[in-house]
Amino acid sequence: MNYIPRKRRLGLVPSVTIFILLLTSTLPFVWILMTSLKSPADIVAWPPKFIFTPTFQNYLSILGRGTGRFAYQFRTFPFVKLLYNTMVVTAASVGGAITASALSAYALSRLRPRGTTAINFIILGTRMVPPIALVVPLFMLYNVVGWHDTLLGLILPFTALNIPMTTWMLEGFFQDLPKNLEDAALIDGCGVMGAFVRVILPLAAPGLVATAIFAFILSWNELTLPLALTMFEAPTLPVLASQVRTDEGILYGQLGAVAVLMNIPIVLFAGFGQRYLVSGLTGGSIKG
Amino acid sequence: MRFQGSNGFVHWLEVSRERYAYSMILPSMIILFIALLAPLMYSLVISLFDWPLMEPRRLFVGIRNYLVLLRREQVLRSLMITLRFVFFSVAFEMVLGVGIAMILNQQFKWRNIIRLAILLPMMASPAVVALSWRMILHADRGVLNYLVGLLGIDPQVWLGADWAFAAIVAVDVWRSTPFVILMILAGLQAIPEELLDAAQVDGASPWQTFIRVTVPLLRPVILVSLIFRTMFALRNFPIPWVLTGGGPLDRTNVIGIEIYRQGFFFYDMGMASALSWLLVILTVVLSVLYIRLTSREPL
Repeated sequence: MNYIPRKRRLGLVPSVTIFILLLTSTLPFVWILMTSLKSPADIVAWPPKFIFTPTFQNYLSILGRGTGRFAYQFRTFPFVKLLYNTMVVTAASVGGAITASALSAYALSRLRPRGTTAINFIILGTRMVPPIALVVPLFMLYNVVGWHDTLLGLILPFTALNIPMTTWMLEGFFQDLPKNLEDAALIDGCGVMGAFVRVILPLAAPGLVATAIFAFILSWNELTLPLALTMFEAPTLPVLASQVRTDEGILYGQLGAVAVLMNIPIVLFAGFGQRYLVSGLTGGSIKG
Repeated sequence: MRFQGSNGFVHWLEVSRERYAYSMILPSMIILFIALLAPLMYSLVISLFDWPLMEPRRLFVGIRNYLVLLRREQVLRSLMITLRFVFFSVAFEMVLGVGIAMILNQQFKWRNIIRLAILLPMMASPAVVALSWRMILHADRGVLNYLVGLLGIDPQVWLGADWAFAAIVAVDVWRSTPFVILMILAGLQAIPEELLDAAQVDGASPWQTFIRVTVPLLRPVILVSLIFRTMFALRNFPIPWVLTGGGPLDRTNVIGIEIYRQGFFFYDMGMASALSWLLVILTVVLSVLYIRLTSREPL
């Protein structure tokens, strides 16, 4: 950055704006956290209780160690099983997308064979495909090949949905490395692949981590496909979060606990990845 | 790269590079083809058939599904709701996002913490966001009715017929305005300070500087944010699905929910596929339109 940062006291308007912004973006999370720590009696209390004795019974309940009433959706969708599904699908799709797109991003950003522009165009264009438009054809295809309600049936489209974003982010990171970096390795007889693995990948490691974080968030959050493509065996956590019935109000604590547990990795990773956020969100079209 | 007497080597290197490059691109292309492009093409085929899920009947009907679609009242209403949803949520997000980014565009103490705080709504799972807001907006137990009660306002059925549409717009604005803020902030920081100083020296008022210098320079960023927000607002399925399920009285029945209903409630795969393609076409047309309308010269 080529300007001198001027740290000075904020005026009234910016201070108020920031204050309101902070409140509106964090208070809903805080409220749900509080809800998840309340006993059933505190949850139905009116006016709502802002000060109460916290309890972990909601968390114990959804982890299968609680007593008393249990929200019906946890019988169909046991939290621990769905957590396992989500972790497997997320890990596999992030790993697959990063591996495939590191290769293609390297080729497209540094080797640049003929047709690079067209291939880039196709890859970015696939980002325009809405997941909901894939639901019907994948459902029909899976009925034929028997992938309905399987983890593999989620991993493949999740990987594909990640690839446009990861390829574009990684192309940006690879481009930022100095030119002709791998030439010395090539002349020493390393081969294109050797140069890529031994020279480029280690230098782009921070970029790989940032890209993986964004792919993780996409996969972790995805609701549309698992909602239609799974039944009882392979649903992921967002499916559980989507099963709300208002008459289950007393059990809001358990739903709140699900929301909190699903937010934990997001909070951790958001802090870690925020430096790369803008290039991640736009697939490298803007550097932030 | 030029080595004396080693042109053969350089040529070999170029050829081998090219061959390697294509084989490195191949895995990504195969995955994209199998999981995105082939299913999309398959859904184009399904959309040309009368294809009920539960019956063996598969009747080629050409573009009839599309024609029926555009005459069916429920679908037309769903389209109108979607366009209204896109218009209102994107308009609010852009105006709020640009405004807030302008205010935040200065160095101050808690900048990184604030960035992190406004990141959370847009990073959290849409299903979790909708679930959380559903609990907050609940008519009898929701904390929002308690808070508005403190201001002397009667409790409202926020997810009822009167407010449901406003509620899905509001939740989407809450979730996605940070995206616009961050994009515009990045764009603002790319504007060289000297340009703004020069305008000031030449006697431009702050407003003139904003209109004549800042906005033109920000145009590409604003355009990208607009395209992204429109694309994602059009396909928004999780938030209305979890928050209202498309109801009450279909008032929040956006196109994503209509696709899901046609496919998995009515088992009309032909119609659901035709609707999916309508969504894809809408997405592409709107993006192209934006680029055409807003760039007088190429970006």
